[in-house]
Amino acid sequence: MTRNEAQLRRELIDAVPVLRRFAYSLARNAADADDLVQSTIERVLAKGAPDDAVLIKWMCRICRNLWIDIIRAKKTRQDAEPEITALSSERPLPDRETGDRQLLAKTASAIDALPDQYREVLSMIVIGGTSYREAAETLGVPVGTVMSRLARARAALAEAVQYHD
Amino acid sequence: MIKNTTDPDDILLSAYLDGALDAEERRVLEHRLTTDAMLAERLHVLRQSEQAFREEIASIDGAPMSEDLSSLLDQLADKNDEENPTVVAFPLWRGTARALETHRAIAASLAVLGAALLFQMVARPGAPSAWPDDGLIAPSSEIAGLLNTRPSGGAATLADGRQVAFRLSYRSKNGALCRAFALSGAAGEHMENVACKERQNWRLAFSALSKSGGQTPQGVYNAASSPEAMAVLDAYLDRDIDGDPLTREDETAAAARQWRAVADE
Repeated sequence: MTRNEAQLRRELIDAVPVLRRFAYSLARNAADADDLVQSTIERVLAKGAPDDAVLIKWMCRICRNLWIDIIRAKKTRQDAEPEITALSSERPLPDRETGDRQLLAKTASAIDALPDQYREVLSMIVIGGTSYREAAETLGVPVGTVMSRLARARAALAEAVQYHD
Repeated sequence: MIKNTTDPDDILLSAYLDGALDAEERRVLEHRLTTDAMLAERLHVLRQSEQAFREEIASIDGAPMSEDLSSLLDQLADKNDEENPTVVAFPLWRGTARALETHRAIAASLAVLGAALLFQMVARPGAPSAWPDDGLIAPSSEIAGLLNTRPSGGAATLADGRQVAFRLSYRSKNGALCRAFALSGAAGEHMENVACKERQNWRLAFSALSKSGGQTPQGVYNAASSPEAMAVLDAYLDRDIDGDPLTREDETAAAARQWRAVADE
């Protein structure tokens, strides 16, 4: 069914909560996540979305591509200007770390430490609701690779945070 | 540190967590889980790690939205309001949708909280919840009795002291008759739920829990009040409802048929 403009705007608004989480899982700070969400919405408004696409999945895909572009650009800048590599990893959650908050902070560090390729596949599946097959297509890897990256990412988080303690 | 090799059981358990195994693979794994305590413990650990991942990612909901993004969303919402100024057909959730618009950062957390809870409570057998793992509401329970008989707008007190308020009834997009209802306890816990009639039984289709519990740390979202839980319900209903909510007459007719859906209703 073809979306009209009003439907598209409504769906875009509805998609923001999930998309914001997805963007944050990739960018790892709130400001960059919001920039990604905004750019994604603007991209969809400008170019539309396939009628048969599930909008949130389509947006997650665009969001990821934008994030990849940013990473590449950042890498180029870092290569050119080594002094800007010491970016602080801004956390939305500050101090007062007790109990759950300590666990949350520990988890945040573990997520930060995940290599991008593991974090992105975990985000795509767990936050973006992408299927294994869709993730494999997007990433250009076999489904088996998606599965093993997911397992490694989960195992690495479990190892780092020691949830079983 | 990421290992270069992956434990085949981790791959299997990870796929199980994602619901990505086929029926036979799932059956074999579930049998192993009943006989292999270490494997079951590993599943528990991986599930906890994913839950922690979800919770950490959800911390973005407590962060204020950037002005630029907020402004863009306002423009989108305003444009829709201009083009369709008389959208007041569903007072319950259109009303909460308005609150949702004015507190997007909170709403963001709620919508995904709802999704997470739904996932935890309904799609994940074994997760702790106030409802049975399979979401089935026992036919002999007080709630099932009230779902069968109490009209929307009505309320009742359960034997354990919890209050039930019936919000509305509707036909879902898959054709089932469903009822939205709230459950509140004396300790401040509040759940917004949707149950749908499935043959003879009511089965929970959605549940969003709000907990009240002391002071929430600054900057962390507090899902304490029922209007906020209703915003979650709001988003769910928008996706699930087919047409208008049932009228009182529709409900009476549906109750007479034990809430079984009929194609010609």
